Formats: sequence, structure tokens, C-alpha cells
Amino acid sequence: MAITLPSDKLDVDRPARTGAGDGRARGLRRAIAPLIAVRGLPRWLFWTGATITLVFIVLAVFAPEIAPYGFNQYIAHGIRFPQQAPPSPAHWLGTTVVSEDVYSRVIFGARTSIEVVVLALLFSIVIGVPMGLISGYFGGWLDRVLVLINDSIFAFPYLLLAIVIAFLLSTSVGGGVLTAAIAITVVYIPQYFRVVRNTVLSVREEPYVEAGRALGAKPRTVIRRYVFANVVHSVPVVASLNAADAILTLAGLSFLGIGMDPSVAAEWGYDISRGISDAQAGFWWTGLFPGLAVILLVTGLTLVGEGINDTFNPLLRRPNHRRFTMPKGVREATTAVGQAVRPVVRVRDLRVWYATDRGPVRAVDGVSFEIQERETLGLVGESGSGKSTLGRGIMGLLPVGAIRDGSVEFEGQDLVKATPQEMRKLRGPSIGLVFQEPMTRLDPLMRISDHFAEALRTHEPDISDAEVRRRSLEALGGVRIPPTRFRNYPYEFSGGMRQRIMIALALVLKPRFVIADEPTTALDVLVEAQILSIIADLKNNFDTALLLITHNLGIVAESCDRVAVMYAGRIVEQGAVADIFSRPEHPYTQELMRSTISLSTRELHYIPGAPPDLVAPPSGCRFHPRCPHAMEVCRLKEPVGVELRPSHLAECWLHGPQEEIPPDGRRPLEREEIGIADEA
Amino acid sequence: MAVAHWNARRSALQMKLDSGTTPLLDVRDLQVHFSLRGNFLQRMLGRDTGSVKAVDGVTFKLQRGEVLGLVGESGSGKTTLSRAVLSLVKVTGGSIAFNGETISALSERHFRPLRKRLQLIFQDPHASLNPAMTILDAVGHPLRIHHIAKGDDEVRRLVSESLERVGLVPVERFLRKYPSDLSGGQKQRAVLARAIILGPELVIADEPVSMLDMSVRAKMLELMGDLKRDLGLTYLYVTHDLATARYFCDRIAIMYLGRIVEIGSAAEIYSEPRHPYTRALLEAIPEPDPSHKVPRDLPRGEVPDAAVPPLGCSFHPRCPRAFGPCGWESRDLRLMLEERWAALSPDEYTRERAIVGDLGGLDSPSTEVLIPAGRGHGVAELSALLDEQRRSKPEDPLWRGVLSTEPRSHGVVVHFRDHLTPELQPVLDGAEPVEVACHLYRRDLTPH
Repeated sequence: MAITLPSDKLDVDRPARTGAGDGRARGLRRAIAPLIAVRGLPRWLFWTGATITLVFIVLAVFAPEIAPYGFNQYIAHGIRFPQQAPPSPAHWLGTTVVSEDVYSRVIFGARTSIEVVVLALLFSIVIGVPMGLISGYFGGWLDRVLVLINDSIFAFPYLLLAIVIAFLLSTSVGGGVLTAAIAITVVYIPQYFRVVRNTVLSVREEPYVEAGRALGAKPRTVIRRYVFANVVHSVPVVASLNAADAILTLAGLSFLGIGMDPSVAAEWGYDISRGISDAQAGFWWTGLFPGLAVILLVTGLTLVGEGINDTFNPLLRRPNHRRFTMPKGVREATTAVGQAVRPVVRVRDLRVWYATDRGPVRAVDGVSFEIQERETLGLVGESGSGKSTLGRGIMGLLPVGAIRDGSVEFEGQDLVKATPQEMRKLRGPSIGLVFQEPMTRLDPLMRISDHFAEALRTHEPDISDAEVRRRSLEALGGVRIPPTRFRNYPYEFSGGMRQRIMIALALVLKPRFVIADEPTTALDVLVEAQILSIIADLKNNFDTALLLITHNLGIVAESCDRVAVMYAGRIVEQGAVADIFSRPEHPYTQELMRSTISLSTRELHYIPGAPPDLVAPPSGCRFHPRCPHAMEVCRLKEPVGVELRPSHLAECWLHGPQEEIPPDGRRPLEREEIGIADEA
Repeated sequence: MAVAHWNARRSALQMKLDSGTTPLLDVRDLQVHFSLRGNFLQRMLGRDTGSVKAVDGVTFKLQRGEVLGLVGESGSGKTTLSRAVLSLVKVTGGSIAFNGETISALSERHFRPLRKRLQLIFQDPHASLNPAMTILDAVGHPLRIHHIAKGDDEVRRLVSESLERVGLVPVERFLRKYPSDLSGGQKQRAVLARAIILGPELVIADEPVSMLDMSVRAKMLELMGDLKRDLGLTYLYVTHDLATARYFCDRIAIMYLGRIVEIGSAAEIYSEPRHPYTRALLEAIPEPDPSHKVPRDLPRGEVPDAAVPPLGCSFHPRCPRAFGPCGWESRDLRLMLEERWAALSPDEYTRERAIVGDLGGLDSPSTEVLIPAGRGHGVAELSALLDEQRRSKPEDPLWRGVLSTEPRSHGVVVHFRDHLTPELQPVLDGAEPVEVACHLYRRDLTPH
């Protein structure tokens, strides 16, 4: 009964568009919207399953109208039905050994199954879900006791447990629908309990739950509106899969003769058990059709459950993305800062577009730069600028559906055209990577020494143990990690130390090019300064070319030689750090510097508006809606890169080229007021 | 009604300021210790499993209308302190008084009405709004919890006023939206709207802008400043970012490992930081100025484990200006050796490591400890190693704490000076008053 469960976050792609409506109805519509919108396999699964289930529900509800005869009727109009007769126009599915109509029994069996299962589900949910909520939210001894009880029930072989309970109940209460339902209920309560409790445990730690408490909400309100509302979505999947399982359990009980009392209701399992002896005598129809009914209904319910799960579970969801093709690059490769010496890496007109269900996101849209040996280029931008995509795009570490174009020249190869095998050979010995969150990048089950051994042996299989140790300790020494800790596990180190270990791992193979993506963002300021001084030493000790991706201008100023400012997928300005910081030419760079709050800031400043939607970026210059100096031409044509000073490149119509600006193009642009509604 | 409510509060505030000064918040020797679960055996035997002293004796006063910044890195206890003020974690020692009334020992039932007057805004705008509630529901929820508004219409009216105050206009566009439909800045404004709707007196802001883009931070800070002025709010601004704290705060308290190490007016602290940790924090902030390079003389090491903090002053293992009484102990010896070995080549390290025996004994804090000699190596070699270390780095503050080193039969015993825990003391030589918990500023302890 293993299922992959939805995570605690409900990830809705597009909210349902509605007018004014009651909050709860809107919430429901919004919750169901993905089911309507989903495509592909989950859609097929869900709707097929739903159709099958619906058919059975209709059969169950309208059984007396649909079935030609009663479930244990063996006589009509004074004429007794034939015994064990094969399917015929009078009895579509044949008759049983006691002359009951198989077709009618199948239909009434559906009614029994649906009744029992619905009751059982209701009881299980009504008991199991609140128990899970309370247990998860309050914890403590109550939680421990409830977990013990539920785990014990869960550990018990479920069919056996159902049998025992059914048996005990039938002697006191009788063998009806209620008995069967209760027997099944008890077996399934722990499922709901566990799923709900686990979801509650993760949701409980969310800031919005703490916010609810800080507002003064009573625990029952916090549980209901803050916890339960965000946990409830895990219940339908469990419910549908449980329903499927419950049908089987019920059939099993009846098969063993402990389920429903046959004089009270028809049940498929009972029919199947009688059908066995019939089948041995050659009467195949008495067991086959009830069996098929079981299979169909269980399949239908399972498909519904899996369909819901596949739709809502972000881990399983297959992206619903529209395919796209990237149009050929229409722009010439802009002459990036040409230098005489051959650069370590040269990026020309790189474009990286992602697939989404609204169309391609143009995350990186024509970017060119170079990095020399022993040079550090800082790539700075805010969220939505595309800087992280650029870092990954160079390495080819992109999700499925992303397309690259342009070229990345490195050591004579074009990385954009390289095969995955070739890229794998380069990663490590030639190109090193340092990521943002060191907490999660090291394997917790491997010692640090093992990490180094793996890194070294992947690329140099014949290396000796002594050599591994020597080089690892050397790398660790470079980042000031004491050698006494070489055999520790990652959890024994703090965040800052782990990041230093990551840097050492990236460097141990002495790559010529390192990409560091926000390496200090998750760290405290003193640790950050330590890491930055280590990074600054890199180029001196290793001749490495470094691409440092960050949102923090201070880091760039202190540790980089050159800087590239990125906005909405393009590099709007690049040049030497000293130059750009003293005389920024692009309005976005200027605005960004003015908005940066540092110890020397004299005045608070911000940029109105928000970064653009990269699915449909603004026409012309992407910054024009927010630019204080925007002109008419800025809306009409994309600006061309201009070399303002040696090595200082900017894309802005304020700096020409003059011949490309149409007459009238210099008129200031009239823009709408940017309201809060459009703000970042 | 809310506007009248706010106006009434403002004139009440004016009267209070004129009349003089019960501080709005009076925290005395506050302690919040989380006991560690320990292993099974420890619990069975009822042994003390130790505790994490997240807040370890914090005292300060917050006056009405002022903004006090609580600045510190992770592990400093600033977040725990803010939660303790709001009764979201249990206080294990000391007291908190709000407007003269002790609130730290109140049960949740008695504390609940106070929540109208004490509010919290969070760091992560993407996680502090309930994904299942619309903005109208979320911002209006406090009104319903505290039974302030009667009926949907009144709730809607008050919510609209609050949204207008924080600039989420036109209001109709936002009321029915869910948090996932808003940008980060808009969400943070909604959180503010929710916090102010009941007209609180004190707002605790926990890193309100650190997850927003640079280009938007200033707008949020400006909004918070406007609200302070218009609504007579008092803020406790919790952050690790000294740069934004400078703008926003009147006074700053620097926290390290559960204690306040320096507290005073913002102007004084920024112009003349006294505690070595404060100085380090200020120097370490990256400046967007290329002539300012990464500082090289930063404190070494990392924030230590709060379950077993260093003896004496918690900052001493990292402090470039530590001296005798700062709390030198056995673990500092281990740190010194490890730092030494990190700088050696692997072969030299292997050779030296053998001279010293098992360092496990150095891990429990004490002022008298035996460093065992390695197997097959004599005590003389160990002594020589220590002497060599001292000669090569005489400026290492550790030696100022060492009283004596005595060779014994199987190792060297190191005696340290007695340690003193620094307390906050006023320093009066500056333009404005400031208190520092550092032995360097005690006249009776001359550094040597």
C-alpha cells in the first residue's frame, strides 16, 4: 500500500479567475482548478478512474431501478429461475446455483460495496483526521500515546484485524453493513492519522502558523484555519486509495464468510467464493462477473487516487509546458570587451529559455562576456534578472525543457554544443562549482575525506591513497579547515565551515574556471567576510578565472576585478569595478547603486515598479518602464551595446549609437504612473 | 472607527511622553534556556542533560516611540528574545514588563488580550501569510479573533483602511487575492497591514527587509517609518544587517551568544564602536566602494555552541584584543593547535600531530588541563612544540591568559587565569551614553 504523498505545500500554477464570490467557494474552486487544467497522463488517469467510479456509484444508488430482479430473488411471476444457467437474454450474466440472477447480484453488490466503503471512509476520516491534527499540533505525551496506539494497529496484519473485529461485532451487533464498515474503519484510521500528523508536523513550523499564534488566535482556530486548511489536501488521495483497498478488504471478508450476512445484502466476495466450486464444475459466469466488478471498481478508485496525487504532488507533477522553438538570434554578437590575451572563457550571445505553461521564459536573452585568467567577474542582479540561470546555463545544469543558444568557448570547446559526457568530464577538473546553500550540498553519510576521495578518484582513478590525503589536506589548508577534522562528517561542521569545504572540493582538482553562485548568501556577515577573503586569495594561488554571482554590490566591489550588471536577462553594463562604481553609465546601474543601503548611504532610495515578466518582456529596452531617463526610442528598439571607455560596455540609448536613433526618438517617454499594484 | 482609534492613541501617546516614563518594555535579566533531550541513558538516570542558553541574562528598556535595534548573527539569541517578549517561547528566568505590568509569567489565556498591543512582522514574506486565506481574511483575522469588529462589512471597512495605510491600493485589487498572487514587497505590506490593524503599541520587526530585493527595501523602511510617525508605534527591530539598522534605529543593542555586549545610541555606536565584536561586524559589512577591500584582520573562528559557551566572555576565543581575565580555558588550546596545523603542509602536520596525544581531554572547559604527550614521544618534545608556538606567535592573546605551563610525567599541565564574565558597564567618555560588556573598558583591570 505504498503511495507517494503530496508535500505540505499546495502548488497551484494559476489561480482560478473569478469575480466576487464567497471565500470558501473560491477556495474550493481554486483547489480543484489544477484537476481541470492538468494535461497528459494524470488527466487520463483521473478522468478514466472517475468515469468508472461514477458508473458504479450510479449502479449503487439506482440499484433497485436498474437491476431486473432482487439480489436473492430466485422466482418471478411464479416461475423459478433456471439453476446455474449460462448468460442468456433473460439473465444477461447467467444464474447461480440457487437460481439468483447474477446481473442483479452484481448490481446490488455494487450498492453494498459503495455503502460499506463510504461509511467506513467517513468514520475513518472523522476519527483519524482530527486525531492526527491534535497529535501533530500539540505533541507531548498525548502524541506519544496516540502514535503508539496507531502504529500498533497499523502494524497488525490488516485483513486479520478486520476479520477479528467483524467476527466480534457480528456476534453482538449482527452481520450488516454497519459491522463491515466498522471493521474496515478500524483498520484504516491509522492511515489518516499518520498522513495528517506528518503533514501537520511540517506545516506547524511555518512562519504563518506562528503568525496566527502571535495574533492571538486560540489553538482551535490555529489548527482549523492555519494548519488544517493547508493539510486537508493530502486527505483526498489517501481517501481514494483507501476506498480501493477497502473494497478488497470487504470482498476478502465476505469471501471468508465473515463479512456481510448473505441474507441481508449481496456481496461480490461472497459470490466469488461460491463461484469457485462452480468454476470447477465448468460454470464460469457465477464467479467471473463479480470478480470483474471488483477489479473494475478498485481500478477506477485507484486511478482517481493516483490522478489526484500526480496532479497535486509537486514531486510527481510532469510539467505542463508548452513546447517552443527559439528563433534564430537576430542580433550580432556584440563586441564584448575585446582583450588581446585569450580569455579562459568567452560567452557569446548566450540565450537560455525555459519552458512554462504560459510559454517560454526568456531568462537569459543574449549575454556576452569574457573572463581572463586570474580575473574575477562579478555578475550582479536582483531576483528575476537571470543571473543564476546564466551560471547554470554555462554548465549545462538546466531543467528539462530548457533550450540554450549561442556559444560558450572554454579551452577550445563550445560548451553549448558539448555532449553530456563531455560536460561531465569537464566538471571538476576544468570547471568548478560552488553553490548557494552549503548546508544541503554535502552528503551527510560521507565523511569529508570520502568526499575528497570521490572527487579525486572520479577524474584520476589511479591516484594513490597517500596522494588523495595529501592533496585533500592541502586544499583544506587553503580554506583554513584544520586537518584534525578531516575525518568528520558534514553535520559536525557549521554552515561557514561547510561552505569552505565546498570551496576546497571545487578547487582540489585545480580547475581553471570556477562558478560561485551566491556563495555567501545564507551565511552571517563575519563568516561571509572570511569566505570572501578566501575567494579573493583564489586567483592569486590558483590562477583561476572566477565568475561570482551575487545580488550584493558590496561583495562585488570588494572582491571582484570586473562587474557585469544584469537586468531581465541581459547584461546592461559591464566593465572594471573601479570604473563602474565611480562612473556608472546605465540608468539601472545608477538606480541600483543608489538603492543599496550600506553604512555610507546618505539617503534612502528605491526603484519604482518591478522586474518585468520574462515571458513577455517589454518592447525595446527592458528597463524603459522604470527608467527615469527613458526616451521614445527606448520603447521602440532594443539598445545596442556601446563601448564607452576601454572595456566599459553599456546598452543604453542615452549613449548612442546616434545613427540608429530615429528622428523624434529622443523625446522623453510618457509613462503611466507606476502604482503599488505593480511593485516588486 | 480605526482611524479615530489611532488618533486617540496618538494623543494618549503624547500625554505619556509628556508625563514621563514608564518604559514601554522593561526586560530584566531575561533567560530563555532550552533543555537538551540528551540520550536515553541520561534521561533514565535523571542526569542533567544541559541546556542551550539561547538568551542568557538580557536587560534593557524600550521607551515609547523609540526604535531599538537588536543586532546579531545567527545564534545570538535575538530571535528567541523577540519570541519571548511575545510569549511564543517560555521564559525560564528574569522578567519582562510591558507598560509596567509583568507579562513574562502570564498564561496564554491572560496574555491573549495583550496581543492586540504587541505585534510581530516576519522575515520571510513568502511564508508569513497563510496560503489558504485571502488578503481580506488574513488582514481581518485579528479583528475577528479579538472580537473588535462586528459583521463582515465592518471587517471589510477596517481592512480596507489598513491596506490603504500600507499603500496596497486600489484596495479592491488586493482584497480577494491569495498570497501566491502577490509579489514579495506586496506580501510584506500585507503583513504590516495585519500587524497594525488593531492599533498596537509595540511592533517587533524580525528582519523585515532582508528577503526583499535592494531596490524595494528602502520603500519598506520608509513605510515603516511613516507608520511609526502616524500611529505612534514603538519598534523592536531585529536584524543582522547593521546597514539598515542604522537608518531605522535610535538605539542599538549588539547581541552575541545570548547576551547584549554593547548597547547605546545608534549615532555613538556607529561612530565609535567599542566592543571588539561590534567593530568586527561593522568592518565586515561589504561596502559598494572598490577602494574598501575585504578586511583581513577579522575575528577568527565561528560562533561557538550555545550549549557549552566559552568561559568568561563568550567572544574571547575570537577576539583580537582579548587579554588575561577574558576566560581562557582548555578548549582555546585546542583551537590554537588546530589553527597552527591548518597552516602546515600535510607532512609537517603528520609529524607534529604525533607529538601530541589525544586531545579529547581538552574538550571540557576548565582552567587547568593536561595536554598528553603522543605515544612514543616525550614530554620534552611537547614542551618544545608549545614553546615554538609561543615564539612564532607571541601576540596570540591566549598567552596572556596562561599562568604557567608545567611539564609532568606524561604531558604538560597548563594553568589559566581565573575568568571573569563581563557585565554591561556604562562608558561615559563618548558624546552619548553607551554600555559595553567588555573587560577592556573596566578601569580596574588593566590589559596586559
